[in-house]
Amino acid sequence: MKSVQDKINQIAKAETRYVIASLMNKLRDLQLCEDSFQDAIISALQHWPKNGVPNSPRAWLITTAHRRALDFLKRGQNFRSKTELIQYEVQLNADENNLKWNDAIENQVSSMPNPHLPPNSEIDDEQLKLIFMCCHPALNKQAQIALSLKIIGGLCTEEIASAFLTNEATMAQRLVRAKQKIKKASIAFKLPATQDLPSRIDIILSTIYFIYNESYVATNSESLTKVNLAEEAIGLCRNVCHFMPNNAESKGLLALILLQLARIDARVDAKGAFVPLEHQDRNLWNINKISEGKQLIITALTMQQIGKYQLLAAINSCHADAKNFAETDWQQIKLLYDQLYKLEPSPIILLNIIVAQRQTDLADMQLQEQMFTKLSLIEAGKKLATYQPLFAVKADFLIRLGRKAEAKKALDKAISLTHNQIEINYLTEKLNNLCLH
Amino acid sequence: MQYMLLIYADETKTPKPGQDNFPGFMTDYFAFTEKVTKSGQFVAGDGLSPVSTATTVSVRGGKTEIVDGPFAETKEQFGGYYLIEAKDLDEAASVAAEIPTAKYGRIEIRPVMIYNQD
Repeated sequence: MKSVQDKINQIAKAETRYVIASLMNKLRDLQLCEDSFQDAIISALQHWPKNGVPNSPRAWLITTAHRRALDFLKRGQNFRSKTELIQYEVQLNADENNLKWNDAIENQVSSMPNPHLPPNSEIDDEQLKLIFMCCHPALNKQAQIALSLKIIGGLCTEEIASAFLTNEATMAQRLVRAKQKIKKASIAFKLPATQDLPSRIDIILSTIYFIYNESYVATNSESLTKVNLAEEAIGLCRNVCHFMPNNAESKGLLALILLQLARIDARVDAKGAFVPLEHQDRNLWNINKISEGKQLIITALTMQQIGKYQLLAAINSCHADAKNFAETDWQQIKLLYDQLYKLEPSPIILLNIIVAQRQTDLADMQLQEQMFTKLSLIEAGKKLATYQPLFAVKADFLIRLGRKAEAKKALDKAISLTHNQIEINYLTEKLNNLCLH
Repeated sequence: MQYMLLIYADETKTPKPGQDNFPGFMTDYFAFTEKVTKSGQFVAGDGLSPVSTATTVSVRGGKTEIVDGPFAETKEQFGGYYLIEAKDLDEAASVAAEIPTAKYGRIEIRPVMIYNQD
């Protein structure tokens, strides 16, 4: 009994986006779609343990959810939708004209070809429309994230709330607002116009990257969450790659996430302390993730649509290729950051260029001085005044240049800018070591 | 001369369907509308959906930027409006992007309220 329930929950998570997309195609009211889907799940929980899981759970859920939606609409007192309601019912009936609904639908649906299941290409289109809707620019980033996890990832509100370290009521409120906005502002369930595609895809990818980065925050704050946001981000990204095979940046993003995630076990030691790239045990890196990431980035780069995620993935791929820290191809990394800077001129990328160039020859003190001067210029620019890595890097430079007292000050500053306990511990230990020598 | 009367109020204080003061509030509005209609002063009027449904469009360097939320910078003032018919938000946004002021100002899009929609 328990196992059937687990199975139903699993199916519900995986099928959410298919059922919602099918409903959205007809109803345009996301709240109503979700409610109808929920009802279909409740119905599944009642019937499947008795009658067994149908051959096509998706068809069963879609059909049942459409019927529930019709019930909701009939019960509502929405005069405006009367004609739409009749149209909807007529169409449902036409679609299902071979089925006798009032006799147990639960027994019949699974064995019959389902009129609500469109051919594959249409499913692909519906899925894309759903992703574009959840990441519409007229929704704010928080709403895009919450909707993507809920509707496409199939998570429940409580799970999303816990992953974002917020309470369920706040998350529920955020979702309700987003759904209201979609309905009242008529954010359409459709594919964007061709000229809008690049910017719209950008928004989807940035939402996924945000979800992935949030998984770091959640992990580091030592909270025990049931949800693995990194895995959710990978799932969403795979989805986007699948539906937009000609888009190189989505492959780049998937590669980037996989390559970064491959190192996660090596980032923290047995005592829970942060281990920087330099000292990581490379045997702990996940080979499968690395090889998939590398394969993806190679495919993406041959498509000749360079973009920031591909460049970042290529940089991570350089790290993955190096047997140890000393053998890292810093020259290549520097060139990749140079390209990134052309796309997105920001002081953070400039800082990375300096770090990469510095690493090309640590023994060359003239180069070190030169790079340190560049770093000082960034600091003087004040844009990174609260950016912890700037001061951590500055400390590294000063230690190298033998300017201990200044190095300590830079480390103090870096510590004051960090909220993450694991990083604070790491920087503090570095500071203590400096004081000892 | 035509004047556009902009109604500003704290949304949380506006009576909502189901609240005791809602029927009276609506009756007052109907009466006002009837009065100005009979007097020949009425041209067009609508309630707007809440600011949480607002979207702001601007065009910079030829690129259309769409963001969530109302435009609330006090340095710029409300300077005019168009009431348009569009089939969805994307269409409304593309029309908004063609308004000349979008190149230096911003256009806030607010869906007109549909009263029987919950």
